[in-house]
Amino acid sequence: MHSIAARWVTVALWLALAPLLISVGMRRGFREGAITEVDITLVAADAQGLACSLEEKPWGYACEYRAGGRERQPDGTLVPALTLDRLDLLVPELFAQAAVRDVVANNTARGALQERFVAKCRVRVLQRVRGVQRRFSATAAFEAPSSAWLVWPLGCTAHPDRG
Amino acid sequence: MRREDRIDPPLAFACVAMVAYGLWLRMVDLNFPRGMSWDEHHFVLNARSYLAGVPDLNDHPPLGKLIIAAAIELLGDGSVAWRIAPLLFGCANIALVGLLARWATGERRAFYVGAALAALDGFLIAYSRSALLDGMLACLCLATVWTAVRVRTALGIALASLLLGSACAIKYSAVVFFPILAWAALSLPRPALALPALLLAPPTYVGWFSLGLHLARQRTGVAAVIAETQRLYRHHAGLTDWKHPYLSHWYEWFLPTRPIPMRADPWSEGRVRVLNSIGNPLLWWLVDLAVLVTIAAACVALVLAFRKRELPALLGRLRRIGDTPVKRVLLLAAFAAPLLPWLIAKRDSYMNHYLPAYVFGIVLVATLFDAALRRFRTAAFVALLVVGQVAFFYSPIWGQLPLTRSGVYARLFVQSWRVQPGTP
Repeated sequence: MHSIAARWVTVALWLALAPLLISVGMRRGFREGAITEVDITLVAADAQGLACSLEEKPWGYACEYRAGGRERQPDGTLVPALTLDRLDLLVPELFAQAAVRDVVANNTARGALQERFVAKCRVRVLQRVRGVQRRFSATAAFEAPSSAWLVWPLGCTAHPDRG
Repeated sequence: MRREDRIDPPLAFACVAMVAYGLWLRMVDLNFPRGMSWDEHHFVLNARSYLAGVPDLNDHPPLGKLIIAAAIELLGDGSVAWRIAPLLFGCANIALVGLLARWATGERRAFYVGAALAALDGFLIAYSRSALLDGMLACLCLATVWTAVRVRTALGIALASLLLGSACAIKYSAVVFFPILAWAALSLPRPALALPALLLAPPTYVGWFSLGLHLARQRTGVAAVIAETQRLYRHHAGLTDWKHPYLSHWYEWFLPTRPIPMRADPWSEGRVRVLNSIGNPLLWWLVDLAVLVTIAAACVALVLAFRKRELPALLGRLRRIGDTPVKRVLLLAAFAAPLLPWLIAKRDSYMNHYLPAYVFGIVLVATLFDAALRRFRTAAFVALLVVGQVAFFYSPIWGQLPLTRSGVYARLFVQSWRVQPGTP
C-alpha cells in the first residue's frame, strides 16, 4: 500500500466494486421465482367486486370467469389486485388471507365498504400472465386484455391506507 | 511546484472519479419527474407569479424564485428549467467546499478531497436536483465566507457583503453569517477601510427584494421591504405547530432522524425511483466528529491559555485568520451560525435547515482528512475510499435510479428514515 502501484491497484479494486454497490437492490423485484413484498390497495367491497377472466390456468390457478367474462369457472380463485406502485397482480385466494379476511369482515360489519386499506404481502412471483381481463367492481364490465404478475401470497398483514 | 503541492495521483484520480459521478448524479434525468414534487410548487408557482406580474405568496424573500423565474423565461416552463438553477448552484457548491478546504489547509490535496466529499453527498445532491432554495442558499453562504477570507482587501469584503445580501434575499436566515463577515473584515490590516463595505449587504437585500416587489407590481423601496420582511418574520414566528411528520429538532440533525423523502415515483416491474435528502451516513457522522474535534481543540486551547493567563493574547490571535487553528475556528463558527436560530426559536424545523451548516462541516472533514493524509497516508487514503464506497451504495436514492423496495429499505435502514412522501 505504500507503493504507488499498490495504491493504483486499490483504486482499481475500489472502482470495480462500485457498480456492485450501486446495483444492490436494483434488480427487478418481479422476476419469476423472486420472493418480494407488495403493498396491495383494497377496500372491503373488493371481496365481492374484483374478478378476472382468463382462458388458461397458469400454475393450476383459474380466474372466476373465462370467455371474456361470459362463462363462470367454479374453481376460480385468482383475484386481480393493484399495488400502491401501480403494479397489476393476480393473487390466488387473496381474501382468504387471515389479515385481509379480518379487515374485510370488520369493515363490512361497520358498513365501511369503501374504506381503503393496504395488504402488505410477502409473495413469491410465479409468472407473467398475458391476456387477462379484469373487473374492478361487481357492476363494471371486464376491461380489455392486459398482463399481470401471478404471485403466491406467503403471508399478509393489513394496515390503514395513509395515502 | 512545492513538494506539498504535489498530489498523490491515485488519490487525485479517486477524487476526480467521485466528482464526476457526483456531477452525473446531479444531472441524470433532471427532468424527472415532469411534475412538481415535495416543496417545489412553493417556488415554481411563485416564480411563475413573478413572470405574470402577480404577488408572491411564498414565505421567503424573492431572489431564489427570481432565479428560477429567469430560467423559466430562458428555457420555457418545464421541469428542467425549474431545476437548472439549483443544479448550477449545486455544482458550484462542490468547487466552493474544495476551495474553502484548500484555504483552510493551504494544500491543493484538500481541494480534491473537499470537492470529492461534497460531490458525493446525497444531502447536497438532493438539493441540486430540486427546484428548492436551500442549495442556492448554501452556495451563497459558502461563497460569502470564501470571498471574505480569500480576497483579503476591502474589495473582498465588499464582494462578500454583496453575496451575503443576496443570500439573505433567498432566505433571510443567512443574516447569521454577518458576524463571520465582520470578523473577516476586522482581521484585515486596515479594518477601517473594510468595515464600511459591510454596509453593502443591507442595500443588496433591499435591492433584490424591491426587484421582486416591482415585478409583482407591488410597492417598492426601503419601507416596503422592511414591512414585507416584518410580515415574513411574523409568519415564520407563528409556525410552531410541530405536526408535520418530516419535522425534526436541530439536535436530531446530527444523526439524522428525519431526512426528507422528496420523491418516490413508481417505476416498471414494481421498482421505485426515490429521491431522499439523506446524506452519505459515513460522511454525516464524520461531520459530527470533525465538529467535536474542532470544539475540543478550541476548548483545550482556551483552558491552556486561561491557565497561562494568556487569554487576551489568544483572543487577539483570532484576528489572524491566516493561521491554521484560527481558520478551523472560523469554519466552526460558520458551521454553528446557521444552527443558532434553531437553538433559540421554537419554530417548526426541518432537516433542510441544516444544509448551510452542513457544507461547512464537510469543509472541516476535508481539513481533517488532509491532516490524516499527511500523517497516516495509507489509512486515510483507504478511509476516503470507504466514504466513497458508502456513497456509491447510497447513490441510487440520490440520483433517482430505479430500485426495488428492498433496495430502498437496505439504504434507509433506520425506521424513521422510511417515512413515505406525501404522508400527511
